Amino acid sequence: MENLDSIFVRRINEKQEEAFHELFKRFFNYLVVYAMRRVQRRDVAEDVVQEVFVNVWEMNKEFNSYVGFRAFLYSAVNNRCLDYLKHLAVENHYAEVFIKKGKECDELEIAEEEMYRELHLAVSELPERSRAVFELHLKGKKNEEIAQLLDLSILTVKSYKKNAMQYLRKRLGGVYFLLLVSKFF
Amino acid sequence: MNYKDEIGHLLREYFLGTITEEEQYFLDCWLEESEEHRLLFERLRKDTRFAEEYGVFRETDAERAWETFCVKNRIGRKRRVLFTWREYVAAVIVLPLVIAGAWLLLSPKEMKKEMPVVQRLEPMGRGVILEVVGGESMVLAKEQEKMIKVGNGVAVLQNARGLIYSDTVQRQKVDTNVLRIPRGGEFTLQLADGTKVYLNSATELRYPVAFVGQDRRVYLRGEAYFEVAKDAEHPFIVIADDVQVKVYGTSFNVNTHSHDGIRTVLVEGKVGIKGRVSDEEYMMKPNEMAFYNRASCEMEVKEVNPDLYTLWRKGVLVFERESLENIMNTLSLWYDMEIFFQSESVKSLHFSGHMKRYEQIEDILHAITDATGVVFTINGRTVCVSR
Repeated sequence: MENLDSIFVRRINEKQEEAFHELFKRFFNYLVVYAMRRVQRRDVAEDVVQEVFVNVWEMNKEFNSYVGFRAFLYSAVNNRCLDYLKHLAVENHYAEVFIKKGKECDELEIAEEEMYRELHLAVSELPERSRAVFELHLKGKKNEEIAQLLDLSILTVKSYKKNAMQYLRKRLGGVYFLLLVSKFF
Repeated sequence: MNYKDEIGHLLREYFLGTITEEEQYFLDCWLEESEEHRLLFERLRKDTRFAEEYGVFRETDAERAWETFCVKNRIGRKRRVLFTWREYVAAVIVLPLVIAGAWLLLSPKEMKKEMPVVQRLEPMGRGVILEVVGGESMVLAKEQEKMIKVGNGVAVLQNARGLIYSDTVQRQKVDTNVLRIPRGGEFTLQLADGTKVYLNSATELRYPVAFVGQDRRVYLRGEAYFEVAKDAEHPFIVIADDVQVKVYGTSFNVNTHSHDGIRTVLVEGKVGIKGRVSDEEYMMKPNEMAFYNRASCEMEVKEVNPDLYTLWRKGVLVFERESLENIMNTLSLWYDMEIFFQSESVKSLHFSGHMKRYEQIEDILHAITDATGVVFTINGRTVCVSR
């Protein structure tokens, strides 16, 4: 039986262009976040992820499973970040520290990253108004400030928040709801 | 069971409250396995990372990256074009063109993505010409700062950006200068009163080397953006073909390129505008565009987004629901190209977009092809447009 994820990996193995487009939509942004945490520079992070994807496109390796494919992506990004940091290490103490800590990423780490990835994707897919409210909230703005910035009543702000949470809960299930809820209300 | 693959799933089920007994057992085992697992579990409960990192996620543009990827790997393009992907990265900065109308209905199969480049275009080499009326003409080469003579004892400073006239010359007989910007060129000029003029491609401006009369009068054919120095006593007047714009210190754009009419867009301040045959002056407000219809000799005023008409001076082309015909006409002036449309229908396709004025027109054409499937064939200095 083939589920959606394994179909996706098969299409990646077959080098289908649309599958790669999907790869960008699903993974690019989050892997940039992931790489940024290591290299601290957005342009470098974007280059790293781009290089990894190009590498997937060019290499002959076949992935057996979605889980394996994901693991490959994270560790390839991780390794390239480490390479970059090694170049920097001579002049940069932080880089040195990070390299010492840097290790192969294990399933545990990947599982965690994957949850965050889905959370990011879901939030970015919120309906426009709710998202605007949500994003200001993430920046630490209070309801009153959000209301003022978006020219809404406080009540409306609250209702957008509620809509956002409902949407996320439906889209993702309780885990993310829990992640967010304590700070959201 | 290799439960490690399933941790994400187990955690999700747990937080959802839909975890089964068996799954709970595995989750418990996993949690007891190490301190690390416990820590992760706790961290998930008290997340701060998300809020910190969401900004980066949001601002990353996967579509742009995808376009870069396509270019790099020659996806969606049958023939290899003549340059390497590195030059191309700039092209991909072109934001996804928003496609209006019929294009959305076309299936991906019909969207051919092909752009044979027959011959590569060189960036424009022709220079800006400065003419001293009744005197000589010179070609202004791009070079370092120097003073040049522009008539009767008057010298101006030429630098990398343009020409700067100084206010020190005040005499009885004032020479007139004419600047001619070729297609593909652009130029910046500072007049004797301090007014700044950005001249777009294929434009001619006639002006005195110093302003001595009642008003400050210049003559424009083509497109220019003016930042007029304030001087309430001496109104600044732009004569653009049949339109006269009278200014008292303000910023605005005048464009006579279109066959249908002359467009004047006010960015800030106040200008009075009138057609040649009319006595009535209309006072424009900021963000208004006055369109003078050449055929009817009438003036229409409407509100616009001034960026659409003025960002060219910063090297950015912005258009909003603009016909491909108009877009290509603008590009033809910027890049000194002739445009040939293979069918009438292709002219009336409408697009919105935002692009930088690159060295190579191919960059822009490729981006348009990628977004729309319109095919461009370049032959010498002619671009043929088909679908």
